Amino acid sequence: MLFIVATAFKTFKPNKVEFQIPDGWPKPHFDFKKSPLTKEGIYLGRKLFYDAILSVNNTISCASCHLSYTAFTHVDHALSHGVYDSIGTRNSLAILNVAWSNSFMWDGAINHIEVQALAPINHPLEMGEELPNVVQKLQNEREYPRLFNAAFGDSTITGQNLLKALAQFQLTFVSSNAKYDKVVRGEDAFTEQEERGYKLFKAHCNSCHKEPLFTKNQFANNGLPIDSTLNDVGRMGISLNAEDSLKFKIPTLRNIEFSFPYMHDGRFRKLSEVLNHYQKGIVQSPTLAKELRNGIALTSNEKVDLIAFLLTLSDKEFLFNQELAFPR
Amino acid sequence: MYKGLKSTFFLCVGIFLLISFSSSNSGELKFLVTYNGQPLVLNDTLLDEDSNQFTISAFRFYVGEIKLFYNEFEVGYDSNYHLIDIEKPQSQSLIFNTDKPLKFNKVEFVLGVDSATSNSGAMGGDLDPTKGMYWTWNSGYINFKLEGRHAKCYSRNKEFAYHLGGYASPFATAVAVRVPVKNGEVSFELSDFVNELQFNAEPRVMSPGIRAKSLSKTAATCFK
Repeated sequence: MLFIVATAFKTFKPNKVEFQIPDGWPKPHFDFKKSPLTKEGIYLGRKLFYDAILSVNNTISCASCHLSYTAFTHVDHALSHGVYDSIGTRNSLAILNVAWSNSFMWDGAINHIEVQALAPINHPLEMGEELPNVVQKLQNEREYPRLFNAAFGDSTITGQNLLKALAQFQLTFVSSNAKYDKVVRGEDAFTEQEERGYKLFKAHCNSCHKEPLFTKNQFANNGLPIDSTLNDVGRMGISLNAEDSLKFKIPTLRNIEFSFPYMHDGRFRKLSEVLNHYQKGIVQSPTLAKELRNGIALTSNEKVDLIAFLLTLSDKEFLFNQELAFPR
Repeated sequence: MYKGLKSTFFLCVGIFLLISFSSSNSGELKFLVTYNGQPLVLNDTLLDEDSNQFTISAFRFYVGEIKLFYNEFEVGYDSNYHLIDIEKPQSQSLIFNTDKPLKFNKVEFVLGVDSATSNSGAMGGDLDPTKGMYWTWNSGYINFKLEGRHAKCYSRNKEFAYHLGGYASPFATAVAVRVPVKNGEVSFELSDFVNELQFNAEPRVMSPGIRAKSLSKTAATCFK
């Protein structure tokens, strides 16, 4: 009886986790002062991320399209699929280094990491569920009220806390220990081929895929011919501004080795196809990135060197981090 | 002596009238919704100005940054956002916690959620996304939601849905409202909004844009 009383009066004391900014990296966009990370919040987010309870028929979880071993994206699928074998309209993006992002999704429809999960949860071709139903399902599960209480001091589950927990977990997806990073820190050295590739990268790719995040977190039209089966106008669909026609989010190149297929509709299966596009496949348009007006001149050898460099962006520590994988 | 009594009597009547015609309230602001002056009842059959039948199945909107005034003096302030939902009558009554009775005859508020809040991630309370007033496909709040059926709609089941939202320039839809208050009540006269709608041509407005912005401005003028 005394034990029950004692636990009833246990104070809510989550364990704060300090977000580590890699050396030399810019400040994150996310306000960690306003929404600090806690061990309990991250753990709850992790359980939710891998739980298909978020979907209408309990078959699709976040991890279904965002698998940790493949840069938190969905490989081998040009367009992601969801409940009832539905096929969506876009390729899933790699979730990594999101603390530095100021918008989410290929068209930037989402303005804050905390509200991103609403899009796939609600989309009929992804998880097809309504948020109030998710909250109710979780409330009826044996362990979730306890986990929510540990993370937020309240065993009554709310949409807000569910979203905040998912965000906390995703904010921990920091990839900063690829071979490239070790070279920059002086802990390793590029091979001659990788060094040539890095020079080519800095000459031709760095303006959009800016180091160290390998994206400048903006939208661009990279000259892809429009796919008439999708007619995806990208950012313009959200901003309603003609200047944004055919512009899509510049994705990170980190772990690009593992995040195939490439582009917003997954049209390229191999990196060589991507480079061929930049070399000779660019379609001119008023909104085309100015850096691509004349394409990118690359010889066959240069393409191989560039790909060798891109492979140095693979961060095996991140990809195989068991703290980010399915919770046991 | 008799004359003095008479003037005292009239003085008392005068004071009484003064008190009863000034707004003296106990810190409660009520948002009423009327159609042609009558309280709106969900799913009741109504007639529009061309005598077409229609029903309202849902009506809710956000109000925030509420300032109460007595003449030109600010006497009360609530920075929180409240979801006024006619399906939940308790939501239509906002209590201001004060130690002495609150007297006010004007109110200023914002119809809709501002841009800063719309960029702040997952919010709670009346702003929790489980309230069905948040766009999952395009971050931002639905400031004003009116749903129902109208005889002239060509849509499935003759249903109409006006979800007015959007915070990004130039399609920001949150609007400031300033209206007098009688007996602590503000009324939203729905007929003024319904008369602006084109049920036969446009049964749905469900994304940010020119139309949402224009209808939001119209909605703001319906408060009386």
